[in-house]
Amino acid sequence: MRLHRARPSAKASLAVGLVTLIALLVAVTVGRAAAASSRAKASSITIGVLYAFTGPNAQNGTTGMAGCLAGVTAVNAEGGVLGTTLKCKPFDTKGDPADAVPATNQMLASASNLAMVIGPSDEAPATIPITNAAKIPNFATVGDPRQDTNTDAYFYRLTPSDSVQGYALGYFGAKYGYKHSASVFTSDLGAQTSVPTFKARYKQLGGKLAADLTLAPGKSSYRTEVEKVINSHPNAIFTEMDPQTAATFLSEYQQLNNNKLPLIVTTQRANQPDFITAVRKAIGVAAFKKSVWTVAPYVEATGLGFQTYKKTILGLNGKVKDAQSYVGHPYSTADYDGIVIAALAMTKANSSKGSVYNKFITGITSAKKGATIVRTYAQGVAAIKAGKKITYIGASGVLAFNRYHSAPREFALYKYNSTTGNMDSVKVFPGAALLPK
Amino acid sequence: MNQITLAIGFGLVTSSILALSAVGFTLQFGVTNIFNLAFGDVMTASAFVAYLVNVKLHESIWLALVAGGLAGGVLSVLINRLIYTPFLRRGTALFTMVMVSLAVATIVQNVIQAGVGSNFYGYEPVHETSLHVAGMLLTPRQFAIIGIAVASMTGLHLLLKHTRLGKAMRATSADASLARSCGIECDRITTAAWMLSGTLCGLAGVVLVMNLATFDATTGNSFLLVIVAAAVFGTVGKPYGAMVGAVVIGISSELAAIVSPSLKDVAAFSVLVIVLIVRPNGLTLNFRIRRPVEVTAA
Repeated sequence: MRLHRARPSAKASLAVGLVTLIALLVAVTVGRAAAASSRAKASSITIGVLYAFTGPNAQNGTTGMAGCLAGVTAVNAEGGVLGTTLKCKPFDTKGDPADAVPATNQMLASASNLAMVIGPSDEAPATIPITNAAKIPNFATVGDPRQDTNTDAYFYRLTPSDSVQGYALGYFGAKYGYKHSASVFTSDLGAQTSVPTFKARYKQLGGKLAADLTLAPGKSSYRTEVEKVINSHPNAIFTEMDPQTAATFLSEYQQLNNNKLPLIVTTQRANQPDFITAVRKAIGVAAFKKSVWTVAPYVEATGLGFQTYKKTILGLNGKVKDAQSYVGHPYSTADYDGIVIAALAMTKANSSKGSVYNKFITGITSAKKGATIVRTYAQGVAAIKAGKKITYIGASGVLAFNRYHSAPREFALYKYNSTTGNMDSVKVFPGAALLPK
Repeated sequence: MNQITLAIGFGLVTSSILALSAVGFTLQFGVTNIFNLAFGDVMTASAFVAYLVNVKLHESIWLALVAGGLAGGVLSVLINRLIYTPFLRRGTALFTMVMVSLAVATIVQNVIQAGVGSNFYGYEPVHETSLHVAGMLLTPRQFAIIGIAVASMTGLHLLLKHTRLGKAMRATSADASLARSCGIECDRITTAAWMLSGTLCGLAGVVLVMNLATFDATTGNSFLLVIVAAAVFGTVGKPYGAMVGAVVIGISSELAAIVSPSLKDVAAFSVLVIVLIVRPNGLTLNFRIRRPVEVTAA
């Protein structure tokens, strides 16, 4: 008997075909039901927190999350946006543009009901085009001067450009008598972007640099460099460094200079808790209080907007580790304001869809005739519902976006407060005087 | 004060830290042929153990140094036994082992960061006056760091030259199969080598942080490149070569900083490149291409 493979009968083929068709129909139906269910279950609006959460810049993520949690808490306390609560979801850029791009794509693909993004930092040039193309409003505290002429419609900068920071440093140094100073900045992008305008403004106002060094960050020793600076006898050192470099450099300076430090004037980087903790321990509280000052964007600590932020962030002491350290923090304060601004814009637009509410954002903070000044989300929502025009002045103060979506701000001198453990503003500089004519 | 003499003094401190770490790194490669990229992160872990002893338990920094060294040794042995050895038993290729060590490095760093967060830490501060010695300007603690490095290198030399363990290590490093045939228990020698090199790693992590004033979860990893450079300079696998590499790279980078701080790394790696052009296998003459060490089942 010859063995052969039996051909399937016509009936069997029909049966298989029917079963396949039914299976496909079931799959499509179940899939649609799941999608509908998912949409129904998306009962919260997601804010993407796009920062480094691991690696050497992990502090950025902690700070961004603190600001986000403060913002959503304040908004959710008033019933959320259009009856929907907000939630923060972190996405780790690892502090590297090469990792930031896939993190951004993952965020866009996976975050349900993504309405806005806060962050990142120096990786922003890599991620802004992506969020802009996705029409998701993106608020960031990036100081890179390349954003001074930003043309991405969905990108908003909440802190001043590093070029303006540089002008502020140079203005302070020359105007307040420190005309024989040293310039010591690390070579990373975040520090170097302040240097050209610092030097230009400082020299323009009569200052002369006694020493001018660029340090490679994170080295095990800077003693040779410290000797060079000591030998130049500066009356101040103008600088921006990461906490580890600053702690090493300044402690070695103390050791080699008979336990003395000149005045150290640095940028808003030194207002951050990781810098304060690291450098204060390395050089001692007394030396830190006496010698380390910062020139940074002004945060008015007495306004209702700031007080609301302060109360909210301190109330998060379980969710945010060491919440007190974020009270005067320039970046977490700005991120908080970004969320409130976006929430008010969504309320005004009656939509949480980025492409719809984006055009309302600049109007929330712009000064206009007949507008009601509001300082909290609660005040803003009440005024909008009453049909009024509003101008939001929040925790960071005035954040009126210019045509490049950057918010120019005043600068102030900060000194260490040993009671609170934070840097407090002691003097505000007149905005117009900072910039060259 | 003469800037060159000062820079040499500062360079000796850097060289001391580098010597401890580069010798530990090269010892691991010499005995087991593993290019261990997790070395820097084990330094960080050891530094945190020392932090616990010094700051949380309020013990002296010298006791913390011992604790850190032991922690580095134990952690290194565990990593080798639990992760590297199983891969080697399967005959994993050298390049793949490098990738495995990179994965271990990432895991260790992220576990540390998950535990301690993104904050910066430091040992109990000690405010010392610098001492002028032979034109150099160093604190007592920096002299102690140099002393620790010299003592460790001397101890290592005596161990390798004059003890059975040292001879067994050198034999295993030279030819593991032959050493096994001669009755040397290579697995035990390998464990001893990892304990020794891991202890050096731990000591290096603690003295690095003593010198830095502050550290975080990524500090050790950022130092790895210059450690590898010092090891490669003196031929990977040769402890004496690594010692020479550490001194040359440490001092040359401080001397270059006199001209410009930006030249520190340029000088260090330029010296390395020049040596490799003249001697492609590093400074030491007798270098052989190695295969991964065969690992027998226990």
